[in-house]
Amino acid sequence: MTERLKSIFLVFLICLSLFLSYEIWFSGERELNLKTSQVVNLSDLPVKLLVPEKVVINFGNRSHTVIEKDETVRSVLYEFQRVLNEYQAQKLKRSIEIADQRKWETMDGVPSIHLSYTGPIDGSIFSFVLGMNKGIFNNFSIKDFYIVVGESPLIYFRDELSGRIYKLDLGPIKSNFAYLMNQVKNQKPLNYMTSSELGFEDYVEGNVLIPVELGGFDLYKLKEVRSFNIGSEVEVKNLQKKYMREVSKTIKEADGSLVFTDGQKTLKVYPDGSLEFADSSTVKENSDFVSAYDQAVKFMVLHGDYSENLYLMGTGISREQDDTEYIFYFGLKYNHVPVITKDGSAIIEARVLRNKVVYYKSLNKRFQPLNIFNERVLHPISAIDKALSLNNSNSKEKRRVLDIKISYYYRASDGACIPVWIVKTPGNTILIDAFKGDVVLDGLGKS
Amino acid sequence: MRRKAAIIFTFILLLLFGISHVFADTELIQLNNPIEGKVYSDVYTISGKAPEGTQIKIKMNDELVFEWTVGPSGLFIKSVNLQKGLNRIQIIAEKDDQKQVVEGEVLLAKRSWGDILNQIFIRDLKEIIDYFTAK
Repeated sequence: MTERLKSIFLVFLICLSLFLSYEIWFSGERELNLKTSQVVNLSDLPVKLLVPEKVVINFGNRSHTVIEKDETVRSVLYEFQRVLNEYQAQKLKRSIEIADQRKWETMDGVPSIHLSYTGPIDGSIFSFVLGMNKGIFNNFSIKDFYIVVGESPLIYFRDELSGRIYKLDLGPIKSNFAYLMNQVKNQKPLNYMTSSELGFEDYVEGNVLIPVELGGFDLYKLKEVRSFNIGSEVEVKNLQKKYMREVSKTIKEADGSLVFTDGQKTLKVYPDGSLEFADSSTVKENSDFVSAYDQAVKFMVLHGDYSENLYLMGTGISREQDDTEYIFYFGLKYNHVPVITKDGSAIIEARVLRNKVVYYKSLNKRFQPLNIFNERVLHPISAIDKALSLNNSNSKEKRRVLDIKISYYYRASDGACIPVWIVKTPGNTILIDAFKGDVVLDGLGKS
Repeated sequence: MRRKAAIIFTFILLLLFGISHVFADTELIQLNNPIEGKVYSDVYTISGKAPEGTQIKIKMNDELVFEWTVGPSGLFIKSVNLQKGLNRIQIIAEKDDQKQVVEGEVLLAKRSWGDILNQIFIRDLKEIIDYFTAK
């Protein structure tokens, strides 16, 4: 009997070992181990990339702050995802309804969290990433969400296609938004006020947030990890191999750019290392925004372009005959301060047609945050003054400030990333060095 | 009677002209909010507008805390940290031979139970009203 028990136990152990070996080798999270020794968990990426450009906490009583810590932004986003899932699980839930435009304009004045994206993002991506299997945000194009913190959280968003404001009452859900807001408040964050609260609305657009005291900015010194050398055969070959195995033709252009093609795929590498890729091979697969987003993210990861600091800036659509091309713009930011380029374009642009990336453009740069700047940041009013001093017009409308925000400006000439104040006026965008106060660029996006 | 009325009217006109003349000479800055009242937050923000080139000094309890030359935007902001109790704030604006001094007192108070209950009650009442009006 004992022998028999031992045998059963031995068989059990063998089965267990086989099962565990299988689990280790074939199950678990999908991971891609890149050549750069970067391990990326693909299932986390859609949420990680969907971080807003700016998360504003409105405490009420004319007090606001912009969250600068990535962890806090992620906590807000995960809580947003959690409450939406809880809402979805309710048997009797309220549906989305049209709200009053005036209500939207008062959102900054009530305790709320404002998630602001750089550009409109198709609602189906929000539904997919936030786990809304009923696709409640589908058919909308959203740039801003307001989460009004109260007994039952309310969500307001504006559909960029119709310009309408919508409200979603989540019902009796316990949320941690008030707790998160309190946590931020206890950290004594940088205090912001809107232009209209400061009485500046005649000069600066009313809802623009202006920091009222300085010293709270954590700006890094950013350094390009390693600049690309187009003269190095090994470097060029390594880059080309990521995009195509065989090359049938190589062209060197007058500006020093290299073009590789295999007949269907074309890769253009610019002297500064930035690249453009196009694939004309045809496939007959149907796609929608969600599957196209998945393809774009996978493409970015597989080609070694993914970094923790990337975020989805916006989406677009291009329709030609029966085909729909889905466009995704990705940006880069450090400590929640975005990096911008001279032409103001995205760091990565991916276009997906029939579930395949047909066009891909990348700055192909990696930056390394070094130490934090200890220098005093230029007062935003000084930045506005500097920008307006360039404007000779006496017209009050032309001297109006439409927006002011802090960013890193990537200067291609020396590979530096400079912290700048971006001051937007009607018809012009001026970049002012956030420490020295010099004009870095007069006319962002102008050639 | 008519002569008396004409004299009084002329006198009033002169007085009004005189008053506006004095104000026009001295009104360099336009503050967003008057410096007065009771607040519960220890950070108090002063903002306003003034002609380009105006020198602005802000003193809090006689201590100079801010100096600023107004630029092309005409704007200025300063957040000051209040001390418990009464805080005397003085704003001195100077441009060429013009000078304006604006003074005020702000009381940094501790929130009383009455204030808290009042606020909660008003807020809840507002929420209830909003809830029913939205339906």
